[in-house]
Amino acid sequence: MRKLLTGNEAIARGAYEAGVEFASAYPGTPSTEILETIAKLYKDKIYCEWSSNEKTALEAGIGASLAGARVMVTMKHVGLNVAADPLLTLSYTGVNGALVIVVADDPAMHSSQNEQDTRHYARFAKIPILEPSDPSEAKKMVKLAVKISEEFDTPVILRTTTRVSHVEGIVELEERLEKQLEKGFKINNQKYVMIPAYAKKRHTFVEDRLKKLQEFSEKCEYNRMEINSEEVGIITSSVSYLYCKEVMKDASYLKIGLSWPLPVNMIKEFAKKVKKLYVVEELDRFMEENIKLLGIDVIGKPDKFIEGELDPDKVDEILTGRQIVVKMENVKPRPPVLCPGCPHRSVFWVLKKFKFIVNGDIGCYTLGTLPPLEILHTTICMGASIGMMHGMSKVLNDKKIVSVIGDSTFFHTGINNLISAAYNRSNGIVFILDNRITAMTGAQDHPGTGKTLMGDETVTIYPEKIAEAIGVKDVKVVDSYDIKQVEDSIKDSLSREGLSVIVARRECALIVKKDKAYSVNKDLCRACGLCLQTGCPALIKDSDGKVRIDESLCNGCSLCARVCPFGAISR
Amino acid sequence: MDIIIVGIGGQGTILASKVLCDALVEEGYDVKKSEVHGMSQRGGSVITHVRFSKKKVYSPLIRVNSADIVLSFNEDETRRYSYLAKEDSRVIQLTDEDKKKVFSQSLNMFGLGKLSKLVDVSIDSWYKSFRNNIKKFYDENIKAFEIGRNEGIK
Repeated sequence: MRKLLTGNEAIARGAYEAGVEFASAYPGTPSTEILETIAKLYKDKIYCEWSSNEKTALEAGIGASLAGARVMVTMKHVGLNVAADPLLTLSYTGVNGALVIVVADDPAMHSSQNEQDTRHYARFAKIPILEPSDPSEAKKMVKLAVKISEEFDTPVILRTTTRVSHVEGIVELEERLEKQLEKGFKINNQKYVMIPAYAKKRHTFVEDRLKKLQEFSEKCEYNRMEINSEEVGIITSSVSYLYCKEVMKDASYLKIGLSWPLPVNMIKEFAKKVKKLYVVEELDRFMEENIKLLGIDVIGKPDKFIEGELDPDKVDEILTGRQIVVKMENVKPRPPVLCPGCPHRSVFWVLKKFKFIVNGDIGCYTLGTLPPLEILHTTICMGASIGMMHGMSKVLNDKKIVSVIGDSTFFHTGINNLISAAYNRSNGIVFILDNRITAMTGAQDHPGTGKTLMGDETVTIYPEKIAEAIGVKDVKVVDSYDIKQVEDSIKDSLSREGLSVIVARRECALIVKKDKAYSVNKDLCRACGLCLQTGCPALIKDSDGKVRIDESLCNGCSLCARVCPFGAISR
Repeated sequence: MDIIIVGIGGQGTILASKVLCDALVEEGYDVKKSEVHGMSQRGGSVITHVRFSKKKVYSPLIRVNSADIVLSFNEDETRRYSYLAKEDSRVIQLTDEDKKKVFSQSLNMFGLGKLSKLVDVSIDSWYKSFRNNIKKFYDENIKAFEIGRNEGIK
């Protein structure tokens, strides 16, 4: 059966067809829909879970693999940084049941904080990496990854990009491989206990394995030559291959699907067949540099294309030097904004009054850095806000240095920082913006929601109880919408020495039913514009300077009504 | 043929593109579609690229000056992405006037109805796609599609 699937749906299908029985992940754009699809369509065959972060996801995956299950663990590119610790030693122990790690890169940073290139991790960990160019290939490569993993006793990375994960293409569906491995953990301390004496032997195994994978790469069906012109040859991978085909169909190709270890002999052979040899790849010059190490002269891309994603027009420029003139119309940018009724907005409104230095984190609330609120002053990675607040306040000794972190991000890695801050006598305020969901990635459950990915009831973990258990003395829970309560709680915390935790709780506006809309009494509105400073998209400034509320957008959160000094907004 | 669907997050562009692409697959075309999820859902500018052909389609992204059809839910967004459209492209610009013609949540299907006059897809394939993809307000959506189709492109 042929079906139009996204790359992520195709990868989920691949997991199903390959006989995967265990899947774990932490949500992250553009990888999230893989586990969502597994939960929706295949959960009777594949156990699946949202782990609390990528490290816990991978470690659970390792355990499941050693117990004899075929495993898929998925994450976005920066998630692999969190999971890097187990990954680098998992390379040594190897696997039992197949272990495939799907990592989705985000060139152009559609929804990310950096543009790191996951291929470096494959080389770093000395493990194979596969790069599909479209959904159809993504599904097939999951099956190949499972095969490689078991045959070579290695974890395998399947690397997508936004333009593979979120592209739809036609995929041929096949049956599930029902034959499973025998279950049971076979004790083998020399393989699974990485003390130096045993790890030394495993390192030798890793180097041997890499040589064998190298030989495999030479004959892997996804590293293939398409010989057409003798003039121009292109070595390319991932979605870049499709852009090249669009632009220069008649060139000869060496399409790389298994990009580490590279098929060096095939590359040498291909180089001899063409007069001019190009390498076209997104992000870093991974293939280009490794090919140049072989002493082969290749033409890479101009420096400017190390940044951002490629497209057919940029590839045209790389291959022909032709620059496409793009006549962009001057239209006001429309950046993403906090939704109408977003509970973060009211908390930020209050924070702004206090002139805090705010260490931020990763989530919808990162948007608080944009005008008109502009209240968030640092963002590095998941969980960093509390640690940065702690370090900053040790140097500056000022309780007005605070941090804001979402509920899911708190459970992800914020919790570690809260433990460290409490232990080290931190002085500052930690705001946990608890909207009861993983919002930015599209409303996934987490340890605070009381529900698992498979829809089962489970424990509900409350950040305030964790803070108390850690020994934080000043812990408060407030309603995010009640700006007076938020303000009073801050004043109280400022009067106390030591670490304060304020949990601002209110469900994400996307998961609750809309409340009745507010409206503006034009007779009372004095056109002061204060409500517009909240940045709510439902508020519209009319030509007379007075404000109107778009009822179709208004969520009834009441912030504008609470903010208005003239009582002009009501319902 | 290359189509771009542009608008603002939350306007129904994603469902419109889904319905369109499934109808195209049903009709036997090779299809590639690209859109970005995540942050852009939060009221940001959104664009979907749809490419289809009886031959193999390679790139999921449309080249500059190449889109044959622009289906737009917002005039600013039409201008923002006009660099992707051919000079003689057909632009289906949905307006506030159009909103009054159909059920409020089915403007996207009204737009598809208009678009259906420009692509070679049988009515059976459209309806098969509706049945597979439209979960809410089915009758209202079908009606909006038909109104758009009857109105066509001027």
